[in-house]
Amino acid sequence: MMDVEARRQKHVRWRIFVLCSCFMVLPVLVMRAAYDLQVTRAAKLKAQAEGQAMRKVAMTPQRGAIYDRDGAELAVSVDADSIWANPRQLRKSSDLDMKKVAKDLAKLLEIEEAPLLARLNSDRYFVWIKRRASAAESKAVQALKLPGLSISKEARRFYPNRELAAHVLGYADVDGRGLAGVELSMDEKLRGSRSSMPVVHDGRGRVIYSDHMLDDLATQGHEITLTVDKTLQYFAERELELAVRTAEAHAGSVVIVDPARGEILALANYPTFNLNDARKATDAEKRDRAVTERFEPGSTVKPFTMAGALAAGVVNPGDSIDCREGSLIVDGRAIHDAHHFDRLSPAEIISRSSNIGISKIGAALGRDRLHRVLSSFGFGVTPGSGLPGEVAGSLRPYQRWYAMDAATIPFGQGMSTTTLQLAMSMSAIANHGRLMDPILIKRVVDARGQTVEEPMPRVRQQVVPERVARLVTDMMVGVTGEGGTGTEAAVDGYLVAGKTGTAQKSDPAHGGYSKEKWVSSFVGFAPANKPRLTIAVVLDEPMIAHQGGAVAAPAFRRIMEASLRHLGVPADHGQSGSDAIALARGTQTHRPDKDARPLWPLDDSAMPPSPRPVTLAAGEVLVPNLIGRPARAALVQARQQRFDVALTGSGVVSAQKPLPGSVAQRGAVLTLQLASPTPELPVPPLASDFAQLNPELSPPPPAAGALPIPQPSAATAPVRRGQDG
Amino acid sequence: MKGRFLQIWTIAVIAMTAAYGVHLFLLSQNAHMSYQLADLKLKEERLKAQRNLLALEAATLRQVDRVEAIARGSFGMEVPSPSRVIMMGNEPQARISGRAR
Repeated sequence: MMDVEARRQKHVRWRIFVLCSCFMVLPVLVMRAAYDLQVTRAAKLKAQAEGQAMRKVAMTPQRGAIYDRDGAELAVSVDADSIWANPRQLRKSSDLDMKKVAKDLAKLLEIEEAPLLARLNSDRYFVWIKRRASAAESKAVQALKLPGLSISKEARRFYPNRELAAHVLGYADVDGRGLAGVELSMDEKLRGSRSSMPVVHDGRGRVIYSDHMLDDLATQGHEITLTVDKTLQYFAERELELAVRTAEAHAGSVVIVDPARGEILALANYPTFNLNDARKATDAEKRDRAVTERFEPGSTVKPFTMAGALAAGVVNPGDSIDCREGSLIVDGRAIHDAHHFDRLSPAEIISRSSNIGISKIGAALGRDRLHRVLSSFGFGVTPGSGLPGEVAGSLRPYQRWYAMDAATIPFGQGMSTTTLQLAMSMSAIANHGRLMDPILIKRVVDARGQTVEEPMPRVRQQVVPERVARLVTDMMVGVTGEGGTGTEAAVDGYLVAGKTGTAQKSDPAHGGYSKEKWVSSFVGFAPANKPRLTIAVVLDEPMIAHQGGAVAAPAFRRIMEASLRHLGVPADHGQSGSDAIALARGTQTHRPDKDARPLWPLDDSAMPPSPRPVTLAAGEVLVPNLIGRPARAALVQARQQRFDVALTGSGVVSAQKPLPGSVAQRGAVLTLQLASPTPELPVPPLASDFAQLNPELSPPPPAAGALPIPQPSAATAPVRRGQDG
Repeated sequence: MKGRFLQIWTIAVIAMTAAYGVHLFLLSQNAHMSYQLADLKLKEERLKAQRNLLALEAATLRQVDRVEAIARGSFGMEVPSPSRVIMMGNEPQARISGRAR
């Protein structure tokens, strides 16, 4: 009995031991297996799991919006429905007649039936039916409930203001690629980056949120704020259209600039087009004339010639210049004034737009200095707005000027410019003689709101001293005053400085200049004493009248009036243009300071006296003028023209060898002497300063009314005539 | 001695089971919240798209020519002459920017 009990107890103990052993060993095994899964084979298993649970979703970045300077939307992207089909799946439904399907869809979506039927009959798994369809079209297609027909979301570009700033904004194609304007020039930043994002999903295909999804902002396109003011842009476009239609002109353009900052506030062209329907626009409508179309500026160049002459000291406000009763013979051909003048002061030459007077002043200034001052004001140089297709205008090297060119370039014939360039140059006078770089992009912000780029106003060059700029401003105020050629540009309550321009267009068919085709312009700024806006108005081939003062000046007035009111610029009551011309005459005692430094840091004594046009042989190039340019820009330009460059010093280019305008062999060494930029405004040089530098080139003492110009004896033949008034 | 060992063992097993249960609960909560987040993300994208549409609509309604047409046509407003405008506050200062390099 005892044995049985003892055996039973022994058996129980054994079973307890086995059970406990199991309880102890099993967790060890489980932990061993867990260790194997979590540590030893973790990486491999994780990769396998991710392969099953993760899929990559293509991220289509939203194209960045474009805003005006006050944050008003100019271009935005919104999701639109794109309709696509799987033709194989569509054909599986035996009861479907493909011809009928194509006909129905073509009718609903307003697309061509034949190409659609061809696409539906193809062997592909995916064909687009219509991209960026309207909401109504999308709804109608969904109502058809056709198998194999699907709708997905795609971003579509909209321009809520239609034609407004069409040429500045440009447009993007159906795939979101910029094709013109800022859409093209800033395409890389607007577009964002295409990428794919790993997404975790469960067995039912539902997306499970993961940390990767946080990063989608990095791929989005940047948002761009322009310097353009929507309201000013509207004024410019409205008045330009009115002016073009009234004058029955071929086309026109307007540019508004903030002269102190160089910001482009408006840039308008006519004819224009609706950005939301850019495909239907003609090439003529799409052309950004303000930056891509060159024209001879005519008399609008006179203030720049005058500024150069005043800065060089070759003319003084008190001088009286013989205007030869309205006719001057140069190189056997005649230059005319619109009216016959006997003697005029420099202020009257500007206000009455005397070609002969300014031609004489240009001759006294000399070809090299005239070329230099016009180049410094930006003529013949690309403005640098960043807009696609921007051109520089043309200002040939002075060595290649003929006698007639030297006589007509002072009043803007024989050279060309663009509306933007003209506005920027005039802004230099308004901005105390400082030429600014044009700014169109105010700010670039990424999708997280961080500022990526914010261009600051930058002075390109101090072209003329502040005092000279003020003097020329006073003279230009006379243009809009009594007896001036631009009285139509005068704005009630404000002092307006400006200049009319009327230039004949070249006649490629018959050579020379056309007697029927003109470019009429007005460029100016206001208020003249504290300039807030510079406006350039250019009308191409006006028919009703051709004088800049008659067709462009009224448009200028209306735009300036509305813009000043919009900006809240207080009126300057009590002063008019005629008051200002008297003011300008009152400065007749102006003389450059004795201790003045030369305006341009050039060694004039070394200038090659080459008045004849240069003919270049093979392998020869003209040496560019790099004086005053920063080292990097000078280096780039010299390299582009195949020069080997040797730099000495630091700062901006103060001297160069070979000299500007001379002829050199391609690949020759161009030595550039750099010096620290002048921090303070230079003061006007004396005629005697130039005389000290170069007795040969310095002008003779300017006796009143006796500014010299070559006087050929050939018979008169009327040619170029820049009229005004 | 034996009873105490069994007690401790039982407690350990229960604790492990509870810990595992908590782990499972947290996993399920995580999955649930991930679904919620994914839904919210989708909703956010829809709202953004809707906001863009509304911004587009607002920008269209704010077209300068439309506002001008309504102001002139519907409300009979007109642009005041300069003599009727009195500027309040300080006169905006002319800005001279930059220095010659």
